[in-house]
Amino acid sequence: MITRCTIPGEVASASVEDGTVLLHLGTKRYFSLNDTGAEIWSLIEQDVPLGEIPARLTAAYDVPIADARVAVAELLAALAEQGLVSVEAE
Amino acid sequence: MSAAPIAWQWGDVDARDHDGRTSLTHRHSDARLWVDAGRLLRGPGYERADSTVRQELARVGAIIRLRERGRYLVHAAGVVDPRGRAWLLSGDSGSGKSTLAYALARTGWTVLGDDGVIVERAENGLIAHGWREPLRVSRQLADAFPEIDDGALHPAAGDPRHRVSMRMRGARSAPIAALVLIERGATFALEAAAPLTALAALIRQSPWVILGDAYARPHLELLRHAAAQPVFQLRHTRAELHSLAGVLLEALA
Repeated sequence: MITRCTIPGEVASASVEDGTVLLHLGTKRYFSLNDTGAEIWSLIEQDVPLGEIPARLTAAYDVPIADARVAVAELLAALAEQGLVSVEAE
Repeated sequence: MSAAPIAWQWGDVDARDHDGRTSLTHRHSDARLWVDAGRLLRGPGYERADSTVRQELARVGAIIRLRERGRYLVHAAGVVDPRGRAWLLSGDSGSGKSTLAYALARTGWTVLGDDGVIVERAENGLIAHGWREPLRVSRQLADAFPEIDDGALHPAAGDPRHRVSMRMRGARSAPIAALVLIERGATFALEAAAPLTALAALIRQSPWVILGDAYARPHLELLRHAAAQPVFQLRHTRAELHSLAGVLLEALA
């Protein structure tokens, strides 16, 4: 289970109305996040504890907490795989 | 030093990132130019390379150096409408940037560039500056633009697209009013594009944004601002070449 994640210094991001683009300056690849992904990314940037993020999504998007947990876990795994976040797991 | 992976390519030039320094290598001659702390340094093979190769390397070097002054080249044609507003027509090579720029220029719009435009932030938005290179139009468009079929105009040797240089009225700079993401198609369509789509397209057309130097973040921020302009996706055919100006102006009205 992922308990903490941080954004590496070589990742840059830019948010627009309907999403966020992530740029990995090391791998030279870029990625797009839709509005939900962008919201999660924003919370990570604000250093919101991971455990709180699903509840924040539930409040913002009126989704069941279980679905929000799955969405956060899946996104974190995908981001970690591309080196866009560094994660610590227990 | 060329062991670093290719970070991006522009024409025949490969760019590699070496901890903040950038090497530019010409694919057909192996001539190299370095960009280091804002200076262009000649590398192996540069002196022996012919003038065309040196020009291509210097052009890409200039693109990188401009970043230090807050000016960023976007792979787009730039045209200025009769109200003095710049429109960027962005798309892959062969998407019709020069063709559409020429079609608009024939109706009185002025041209900032047909394959690149310099963009910088200003107090009230973004300014596009000209990147002066000849506007080159394919001879194959002579049925739409008869003046292209002038025997005095000759395509550059070896150009598979048989493009001829056309002299059109140029513009120096203008505030950006809209971005148009263009592609050729079998049918015409013009519709508003989402900012995220626009930002991803701009990154694709500004590959030097991913250089691992100090200018990557301000460059990305500039593209974010550009994506916040009115953005359209245009799928075009030859049928609209003579009505495009009116269509675009109406879309922004």
